[in-house]
Amino acid sequence: MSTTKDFVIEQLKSEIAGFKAAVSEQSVGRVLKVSDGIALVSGLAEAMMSEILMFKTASGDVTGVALNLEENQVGAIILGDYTAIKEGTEVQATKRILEVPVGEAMIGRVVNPLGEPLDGQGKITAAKFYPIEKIAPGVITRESVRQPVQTGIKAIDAMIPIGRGQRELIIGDRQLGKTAIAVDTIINQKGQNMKCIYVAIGQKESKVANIVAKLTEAGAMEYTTVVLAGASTSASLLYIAPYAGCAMAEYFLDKGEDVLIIYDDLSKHAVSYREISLLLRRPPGREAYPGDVFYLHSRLLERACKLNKDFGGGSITALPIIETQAGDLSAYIPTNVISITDGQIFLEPELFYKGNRPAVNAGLSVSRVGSSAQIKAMKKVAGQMRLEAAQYRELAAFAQFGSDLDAETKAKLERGRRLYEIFKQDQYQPLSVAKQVLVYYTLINGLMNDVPVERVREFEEGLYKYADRHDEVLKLIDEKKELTPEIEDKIKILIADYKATVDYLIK
Amino acid sequence: MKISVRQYAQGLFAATSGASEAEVKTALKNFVLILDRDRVLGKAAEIIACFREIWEKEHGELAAELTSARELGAAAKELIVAYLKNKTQAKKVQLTEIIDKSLIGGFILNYESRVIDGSLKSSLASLKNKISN
Repeated sequence: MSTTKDFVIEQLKSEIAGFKAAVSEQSVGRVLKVSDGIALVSGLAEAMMSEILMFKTASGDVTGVALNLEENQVGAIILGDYTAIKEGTEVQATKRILEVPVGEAMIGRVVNPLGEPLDGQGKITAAKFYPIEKIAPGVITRESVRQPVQTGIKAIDAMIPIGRGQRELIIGDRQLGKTAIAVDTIINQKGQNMKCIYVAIGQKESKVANIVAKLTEAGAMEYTTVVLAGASTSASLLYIAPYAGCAMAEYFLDKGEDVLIIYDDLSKHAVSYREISLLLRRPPGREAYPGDVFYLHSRLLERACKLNKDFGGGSITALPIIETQAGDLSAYIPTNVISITDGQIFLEPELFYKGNRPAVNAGLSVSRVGSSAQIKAMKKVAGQMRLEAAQYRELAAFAQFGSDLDAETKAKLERGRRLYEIFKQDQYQPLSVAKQVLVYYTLINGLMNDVPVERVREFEEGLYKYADRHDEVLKLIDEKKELTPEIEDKIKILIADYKATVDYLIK
Repeated sequence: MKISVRQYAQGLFAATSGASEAEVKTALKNFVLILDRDRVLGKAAEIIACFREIWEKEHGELAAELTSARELGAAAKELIVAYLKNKTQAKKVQLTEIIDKSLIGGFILNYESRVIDGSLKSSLASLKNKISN
């Protein structure tokens, strides 16, 4: 028998008649003081650290988080509109630690740090919630970093390789292309089995809108979540944004997947935390930052990890970004984050204005994980290339003083100039590993010596196109991931064939 | 070392509990002198509030606030007082009653920093919540 209309209605009626809201004791307090997104609350005797508090205002509930537990009062940050909160407003403890929705539903979306959608694409129904603060995985669960993250940027993949589970800082002044490196890296993760999370902290919303548009255009939003706490958001939301992003990443980590997370940028995060701390009357220290500003970033970045097989084998790779003021690396926050991360990519204004973009300073940039996160083919060409780059820098400084140089030095200089020409790369044009190997192979074996320096880029472009048309070599490199003598022979033939088609070679 | 408001209140309680009226008077005089010496006379209101709290706790007194839609019967009040005594081990319960028609029915009981919300208004709100989500 199928259900009838009356049956349903009768059932509903009896349900409502039987409905009894559970009456239970709740811990409450009253607001003593509100100011700039901070509230002091009396009562709440059993409040927990970072527990969600509900402010019962006339225009609905406002969420807050307990941050200071004192003898007679609780200091809380307010996540939302604090103008409706008045002195004496009732505050209810919820017995829940602050958590965000996580899951597959978050992919392709732009959300605020509480996981609420900002992109107008409808409600997100997440099955799971993760606490935003979590202790990082321990020693037993980890293993050393060994798989590469291909950024698609020639200078970085060759000289400063990044591995899955690594924390690599991108540091430099404003407007030098820090975000560009991060966005290119996201774009290049297509088909690399990587989920990406881009956390914008205190960024201009127009800039974030541009990034989202670019990512959508490149098809990168299919595996990316953008967590946005814009410049007009309150300090409390800016403060929780990176932790919320990390919680969303941990969902995929627990499923054994690889995640790339970008914190853009942590200097603004530190500033927002300073604001909260000063308003909560915590004592200021150097540059007025509170004493625990190191822990603020170390506990966040320590959550980046590479888990071993027994624990799912997933990884979180973190690319924090720090903006320096006038190249000052020895300021408080930059030194802190440099010491926490496993290396840094340092961007330099001189290089940038000379036209070397991305303006990666090869000398100051390091990756402490090193070549263990490179495929064998790349390792082979990059090792030699790094040496060439270092020698060129030394010689170039020395060669300024005299023009009488021996033939060997001259050859080295010429090759160095071509190398720096190859490091140049346009934005939004990440390059596959195979092509990178190909072009570096050409250079270190002197096969580019007869190309005029000013036409190196043209030559390079042509080489990629030619290799695409005769894609046997690229496929072999991708497949074998190393340079066997047979492959090397094939590369040599390919380059020779290509060179026969260009007409600007030096005779 | 800085002395907290609670410590002042505890000191005052220790000095005055079980003392005769004359003793209390001298104790209070001295206490005010100490407050003046420490330049914390401005915190007198907080100290008094804290002192009241300590006194009530030590003497098993409990202040509670009962909000209901209409005047509750003596039996119901008796029950509530008994519940509070049982719950907090208080010997005496000071019940302040407030009539608030907007509750529709039931009552809300406030004591210390806890609240028991048994009003019809809030159960209707939670029913609405349950249906709409």
